[in-house]
Amino acid sequence: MFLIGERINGMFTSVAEAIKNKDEKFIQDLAVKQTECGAHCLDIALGPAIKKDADKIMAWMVEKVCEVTSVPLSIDNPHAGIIEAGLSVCKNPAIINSASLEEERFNGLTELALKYSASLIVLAMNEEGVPQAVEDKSAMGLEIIARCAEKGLDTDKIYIDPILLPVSAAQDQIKVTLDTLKELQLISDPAPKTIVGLSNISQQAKNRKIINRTFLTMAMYAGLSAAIVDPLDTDLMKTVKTAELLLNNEVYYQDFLSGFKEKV
Amino acid sequence: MALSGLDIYKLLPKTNCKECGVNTCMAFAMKVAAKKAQLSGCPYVSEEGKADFSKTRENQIKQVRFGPGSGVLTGGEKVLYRHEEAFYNKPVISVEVSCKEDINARVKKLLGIKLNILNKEETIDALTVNGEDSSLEDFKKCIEIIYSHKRLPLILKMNREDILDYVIKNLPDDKPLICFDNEDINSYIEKIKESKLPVAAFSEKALQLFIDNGVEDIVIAFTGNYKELDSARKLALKYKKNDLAYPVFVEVHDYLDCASYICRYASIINLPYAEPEFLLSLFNLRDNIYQDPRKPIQVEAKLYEIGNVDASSPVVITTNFSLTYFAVSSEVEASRIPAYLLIVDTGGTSVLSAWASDKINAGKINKALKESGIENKVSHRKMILPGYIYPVKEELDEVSGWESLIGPKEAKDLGLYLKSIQSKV
Amino acid sequence: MNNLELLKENNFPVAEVKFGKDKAIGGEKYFPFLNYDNEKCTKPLVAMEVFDRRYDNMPQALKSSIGEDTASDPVKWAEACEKEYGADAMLIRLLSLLEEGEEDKSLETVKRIKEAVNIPLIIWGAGSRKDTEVLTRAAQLLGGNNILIGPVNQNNVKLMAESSVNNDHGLIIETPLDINIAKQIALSLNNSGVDLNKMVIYPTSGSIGYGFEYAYSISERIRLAGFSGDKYLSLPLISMPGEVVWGLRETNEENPDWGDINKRAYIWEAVTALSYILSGSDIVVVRHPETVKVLKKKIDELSGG
Repeated sequence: MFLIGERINGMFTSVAEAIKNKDEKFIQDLAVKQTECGAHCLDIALGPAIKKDADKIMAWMVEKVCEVTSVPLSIDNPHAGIIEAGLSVCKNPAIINSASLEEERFNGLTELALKYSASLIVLAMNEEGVPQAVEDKSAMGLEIIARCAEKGLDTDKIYIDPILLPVSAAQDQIKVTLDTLKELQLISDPAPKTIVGLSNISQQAKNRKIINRTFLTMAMYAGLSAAIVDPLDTDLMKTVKTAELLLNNEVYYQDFLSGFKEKV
Repeated sequence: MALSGLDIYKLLPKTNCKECGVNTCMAFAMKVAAKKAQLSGCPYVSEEGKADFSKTRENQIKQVRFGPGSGVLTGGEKVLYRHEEAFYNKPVISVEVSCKEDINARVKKLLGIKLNILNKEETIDALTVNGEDSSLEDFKKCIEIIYSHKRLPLILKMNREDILDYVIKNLPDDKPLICFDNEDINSYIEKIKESKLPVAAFSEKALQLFIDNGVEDIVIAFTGNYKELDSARKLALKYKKNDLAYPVFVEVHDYLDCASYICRYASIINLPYAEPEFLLSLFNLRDNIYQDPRKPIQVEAKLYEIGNVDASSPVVITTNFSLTYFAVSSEVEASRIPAYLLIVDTGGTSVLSAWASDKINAGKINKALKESGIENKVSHRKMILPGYIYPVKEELDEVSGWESLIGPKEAKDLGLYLKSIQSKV
Repeated sequence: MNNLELLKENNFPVAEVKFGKDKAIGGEKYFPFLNYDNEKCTKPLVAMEVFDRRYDNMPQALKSSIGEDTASDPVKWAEACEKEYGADAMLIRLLSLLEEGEEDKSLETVKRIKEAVNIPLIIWGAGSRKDTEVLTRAAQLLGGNNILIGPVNQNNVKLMAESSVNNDHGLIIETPLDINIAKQIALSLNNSGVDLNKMVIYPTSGSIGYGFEYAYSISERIRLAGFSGDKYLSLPLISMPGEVVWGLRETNEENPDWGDINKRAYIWEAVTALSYILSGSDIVVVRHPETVKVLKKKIDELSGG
């Protein structure tokens, strides 16, 4: 399971403060902490509040994080221009978060992916919205892979996001997402990579953490390759490790939880 | 292997005509991949496309059978490492004889090699007859001599048309493997195809020719080294290069080469000569590598009598793993001391394995002891435990009322041990 | 992508463990002789073993080769292994510890062997209650020369870890054909301060015909787990055919169906040893001089010279 740490996001007040005050140490400490907790990649997001000089701020954040870690970075923003600002200064391997099948977004971001040799997360949705049936979602997954291939982007550069909805609002869609993940494995050989933004499932819900980690184990069984998560949630990280052993992805050993600090 | 969604999509017209009942070709492709629809639901797939789809076989090396009667089966492998599933068809071991020599004595000797491997008798599986540049007469004579001893699977090396014709006409029921190494293979392809005999391809060109002409039973005559054979197998199984998914015929110079190809991937191995001195090792290695790892080999868990036992005979305890049983029982036999052998059911695991996974413990040994009826057969109450499980003594003695003696760790020391305690009695 | 490109794998390399004055084992990214990145092949080492006392009940085939005389004197035997038989390394099996009160004598013998040979050393217990005590004392005596000491099992992890950290030597983890135990012991050692590049795994060897396939597959599984990034299993492997093949009927008994025993016996050892090498062994430990000869020749051939 490829884990992308979600904490460097202007949505969090502490991060928004740090951005406002140009507190690079805070950002860098948060980057290091997430990798120490087991994140394989770090998401960098400004948050919706930043409107002015967003490109410069993105570049600054990416630069600062590259100074303290060599893990890949996920450049997270709705606008291609701001994403490019981050990509252009990123010394580490990069993932673009995210494109969709909406024409302009797809064309613009696939071009950026090619230009910067970045990987690309593509949401399984288009101008008509998010499909609700497993068959339509998996057909969209095939469309993503086929059209990326036409553009020259190899399958192993793509992460298909079947779009995880909150259980509080779309409870029936959770199982649909799990079944979709299973079918997405059939698109190609080897199967394409898949990803979800885990926290989405518990939006507006109580007991968010247990919802998150329970879904993640189900998704791992369905073939999920990557997830955007909170690596500082130790229970979640322990659950991922346990699930890997249960799925025979890693050799079992007695002290398999010995690598986890109790409190972060 | 089954085609992926992408592969299926490539066979479709991409018009989204909906005649298949699905909105888009992409959705239809995924449905077929998920086995929720049949490819025939689309009226616009080309004949070639349909053929491609039906040709996809399980990802494995082709199975080829050769030899008289049920012959030998080669190929059929699906995995690169035996623990992923199993290796199925043991490599055929063949020895080469030449038509230009007087082979009678040699063949008699070779076919007379009978080795007892894990309670089964094994012999050389096939002979490779080298008829290259020999006359038809000599070739015929050679086959006759071999058949006068045994009608066994043959691998026939030849480069002349008259010999090829003879084989096709006279030996079809014996299904020999044809190794026709001729530059001009093109001219013979029809003949070879019609014969329906299994054939070895000596070059990429020949292989392609056989495939294109629909020859079914193809074996690749491999001339590379250990690393090259590994790469061919990896390309076939891991990277799905179907052109390489055929059994492989390898020629070796020595027994160590043969061992390396038993471990990795040869289907037929040709030795220039054979001696029991090394065949013994090679047959054992082959049996081990091709043992199905999912099935532990085990003997029945019960009380065995070795020799003329009586009320004072020692009682030896061990597990029901076949090899453990054979090792221990043969040691007892060799010692000439009659003894009872109580086999405890550990699911076919060895002493060490059973000990590590708690398949052998005081409770299990005691149960086996009481259920075996040994207490009515011997007047003493001493049992000999395998050395490795010595920690079980205290609990076992208490619960069984017997005295356990700590035997040696290795079966090979059991003979001496039995002698030493006998002298004390 | 052409075929050769396809075969290159992004494997996590096996830890490199220093061994002796100037050798190292491990570091590879592929199974032996299958280096698809075409970097130079690491050659497995062919080690011989001697005991810390005379070889009692020496099998006929070894008698006719090494000779009872040589095998009655550990130092002479060790010297022959290095100078006459070409062993790459030497394992000293402390069999005398199976008897009471032999600890000091055993250590003395180990010291004398160390002084007599230049090849890297492995000191190996006998499965006696005195093993750990003597092994750690030997480590004190010889430490700092990149020697390997074992077995380490779940009962003596702490003491062996301490010894390794204090005396700077490598450790060989013994596991009864159990991949989970091997990983757990490596983790325990690591948590006790031993670096991963100081560990080797001994999965326990079986002879061909006698459970060989278990050890063979465990080795392959350990190797594959290591290549996929499991650092506690990405350790060099050692196998000991010499320990398990010389007590069998096939290597001891005269039998007209089986051919000349003097040939048959070392061939049995050589076939077992080569097969272990192919499953990933970085060191094989054998007893017959002819085995060493044929193995080293074959290793040279397979690694392209």
